[in-house]
Amino acid sequence: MTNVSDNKKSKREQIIKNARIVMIVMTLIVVCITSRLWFLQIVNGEYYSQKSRDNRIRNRRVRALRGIITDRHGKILADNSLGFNLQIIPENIDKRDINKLAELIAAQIEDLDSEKVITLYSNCSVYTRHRPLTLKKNLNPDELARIEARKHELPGVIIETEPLREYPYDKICSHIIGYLGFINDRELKLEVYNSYAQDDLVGRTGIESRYQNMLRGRDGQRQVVVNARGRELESFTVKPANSGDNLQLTIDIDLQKFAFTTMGDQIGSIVAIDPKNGEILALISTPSFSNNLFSTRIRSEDWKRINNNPLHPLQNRPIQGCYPPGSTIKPLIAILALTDKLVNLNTEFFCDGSLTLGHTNFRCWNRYGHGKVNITRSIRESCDVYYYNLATRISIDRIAAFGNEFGLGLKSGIELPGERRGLMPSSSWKLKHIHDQWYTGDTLSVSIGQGYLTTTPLQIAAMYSVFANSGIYFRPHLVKTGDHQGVKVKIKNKDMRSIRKALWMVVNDKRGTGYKSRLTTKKWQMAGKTGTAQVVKQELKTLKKVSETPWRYRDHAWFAAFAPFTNPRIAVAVMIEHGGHGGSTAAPIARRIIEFYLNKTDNSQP
Amino acid sequence: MKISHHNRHRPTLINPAHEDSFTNETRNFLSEPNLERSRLDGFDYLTCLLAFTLIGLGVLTIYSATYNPEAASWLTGFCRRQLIWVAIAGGLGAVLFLVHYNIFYQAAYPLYVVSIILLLAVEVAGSTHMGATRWLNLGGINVQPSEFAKLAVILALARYLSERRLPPPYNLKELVPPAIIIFCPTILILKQPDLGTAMLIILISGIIIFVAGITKRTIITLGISAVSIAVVGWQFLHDYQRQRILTFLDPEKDPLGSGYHIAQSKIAIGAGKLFGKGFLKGTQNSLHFLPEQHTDFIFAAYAEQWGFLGVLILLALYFTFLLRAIHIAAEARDSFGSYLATGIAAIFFWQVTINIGMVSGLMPVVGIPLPLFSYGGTSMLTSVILISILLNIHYRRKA
Repeated sequence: MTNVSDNKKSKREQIIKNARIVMIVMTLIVVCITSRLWFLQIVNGEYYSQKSRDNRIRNRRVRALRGIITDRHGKILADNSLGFNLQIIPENIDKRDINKLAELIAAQIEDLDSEKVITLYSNCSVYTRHRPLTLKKNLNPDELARIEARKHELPGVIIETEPLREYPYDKICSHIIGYLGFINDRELKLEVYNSYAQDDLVGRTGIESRYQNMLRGRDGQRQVVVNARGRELESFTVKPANSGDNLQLTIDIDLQKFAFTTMGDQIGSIVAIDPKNGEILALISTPSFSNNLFSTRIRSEDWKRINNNPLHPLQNRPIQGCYPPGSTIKPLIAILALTDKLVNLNTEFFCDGSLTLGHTNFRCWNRYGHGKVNITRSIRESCDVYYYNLATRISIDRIAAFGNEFGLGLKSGIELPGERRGLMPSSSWKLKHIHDQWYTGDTLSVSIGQGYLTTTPLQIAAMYSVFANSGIYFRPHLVKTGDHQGVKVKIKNKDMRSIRKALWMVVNDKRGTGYKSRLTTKKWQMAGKTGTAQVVKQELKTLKKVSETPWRYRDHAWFAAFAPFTNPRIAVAVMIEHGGHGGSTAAPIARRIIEFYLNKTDNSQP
Repeated sequence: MKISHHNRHRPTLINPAHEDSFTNETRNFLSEPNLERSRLDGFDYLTCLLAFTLIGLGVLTIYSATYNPEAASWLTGFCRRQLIWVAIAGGLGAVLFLVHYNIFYQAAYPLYVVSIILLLAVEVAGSTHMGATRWLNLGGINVQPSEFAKLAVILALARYLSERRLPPPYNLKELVPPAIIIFCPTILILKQPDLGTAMLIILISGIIIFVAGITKRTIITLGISAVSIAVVGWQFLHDYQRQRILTFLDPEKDPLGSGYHIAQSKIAIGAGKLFGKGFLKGTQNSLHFLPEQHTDFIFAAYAEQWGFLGVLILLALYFTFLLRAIHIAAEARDSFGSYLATGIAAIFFWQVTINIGMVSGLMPVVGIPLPLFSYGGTSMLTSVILISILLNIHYRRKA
């Protein structure tokens, strides 16, 4: 019994003693926990508050709408539309369902296989599972409809909308408008682009590129409260987005469209300018390309097709193509001769079909000769020998300086990237680049628009605008502004009248080289000049007929014109690569364009 | 003599020797005079009040954690279910209170055997959920035998220690039989695997044995060996092996996922700062950044809303409750009651410590709920019954 009570007593003693120790230990541990919480909530409270804010508040960019580009009458040339992107949110898809789901998605969408879906799905980590993954951008309407119809079978599949650039006139003015492309990593590092972010679109060519900063606008900012799954619950606009400025071009899209259609599948350029102010009414380059293809990430086969085309559809021929101007240069040489009083209206040279200078025989296009030719006839019938005779009397540097006044050999400053200046050669140029002195023979070639001389179709159109408005050079431009400053070219009105008369005769005189392309209506009269620019030397051509010559050896066909004669509203330069004779290929196109425009403006502007 | 002495250790329904307030020889819950005396002052109002305050705060926090402004009913489903569980548990606790706690003395070994059988049954026929086999389907009801084993071990340990003739403190050799009682179910639980519950059983048993009394040498030996095994073993492991072991022992929480959970939980607690974000204004919680915000991580939801001051109040409540439980243990009429009360205090102590330690980033993530606070029927039922036993022991303390 003592044993039992001893046992009881010792157990009790132990309990009381040890319970006290347990209480002390518990107190210590509670103090530990309390200090941990003190550390979290008081010492680091601000840090965790910030983290908590970062957790739920995301700054989202509000994309500014890009400015709209319109033609001179407000018709939309570049617009914003919505693209539909197919996305999945991995978090909302059960691992067991992904195979079936991937099959189902792949069945609705062209060129998307289920393997890709599964790979994308399984590659995302715990942290990124709430973020949508893009499976395909820019669904076509069929795909969109199919997905929408099966929405209930496709959990975790969403359609995201994204602003896209849309060009309603597509190929018709893709060279003017240009296109957009996603900014690349290299550009993002540059200072110029430091206000840009990944996935931003920037203009790559054309007006889109040149006016990037203006069209782009300013992105806004939105704060979004998101939950742990990344779903947006509330949003506050911190900074509203400013849409880009709209841009009005001088282009008349109806004329542009008509000109493009008239051009058909011929290769070349058309430039139409309002000679009263230099506004470009139409600017055609063929072959063209679809800039809508670039609106999203261009598919590589499309890119290859466009880029590897031997005809270079991406090249903007009217401003980048440098061609010998052929006979279209003759009015310039003629008016220079009059200005410098080398000849008067009655001065005649005899054309027997060629002119021999030294050992070289310079031939007239008419191998039988024109006989006695004065300045008017030289333009009307485009006699080469007349100009050979002038060329022996004028220095090339004088021609170059005079040509510059008409914009030849200089960039016009048109609001498009990549303009080329052509070549208005001079003696110093030849010395520098060819390392040879200038010979009179070189001047002879230049005087008929051959040799070293090259011009862009835009320069020819601008030059003929000067003849159209009787002596004022307006910088050709694409963007509508109220401000037009012309530069008076130093020519006497009398001389200008003579040349204009001669240009009138080209089209309206039975003997004129462009008589066949005279206007069909008596209401207006057109003046112009044909041009046939040799691509290869005459001697190489063994065949006489254009149709029998291989395409790439055929002459370039030019026609430059303006109308109505008394008060011109339009100046046009048409240039058909390897088109043969200007009078037969280029002139009819110019005529149709002019008629179309005059009819249109007559009806709309009573 | 020897046989009779041995017999005296066996409980008997015949000998009503309960005047001896600290006996472990005779128990008779059928004729219990204290109950008839109806001492109102014998009821521990403080513990009861603490428990209900904690449950009340818990329900409030569950409400805020599962609050959905768009929901049709103002009372969330979780909140309503928790209240139902509180009612059921309260009823069961009240009934148990009326019965002398000796009934647990009687049932200790049979319950222990049953729990071992259930754990073996899990091994054989358990259902696997998230890589761990913990559940047993008994006629349509899923039971988790490891939860049950926790109580069974405490009861068996309390009974064994109270009926042991050998006077404490015990040395290492004398601790072999209680060690067997502890480790049989623990090993089975580890095999499931459920590291959390296994550790919990060992820790709770540790406190019971400590209170029962062990020699200083034993404490030092056990302490040093436990620490060295843990430290040395862990040092030799590569990071990926540690991760693998953690994942192996507790696959329910993948380490990557639990890292994210702990980070979010720490943000929730820290963002509460001194005064908290206010009721229903915890964004970590309401925007679902907080994982398991109404069960294992409910403390973080509470801390975010009520800040450090709220946390201090909550910890004070738990702390008072624990001190009270230890006090009850010291005051019990017999050693079984003392050990049982100690075990109950230990359960609460470790669960609160581990849970808060886990959500505040002090300990690895193991799925242990905050007792009386977290959402969950089983947890609530167990906690309330344990408190009922505690009140029972206190009510029938020595005069």
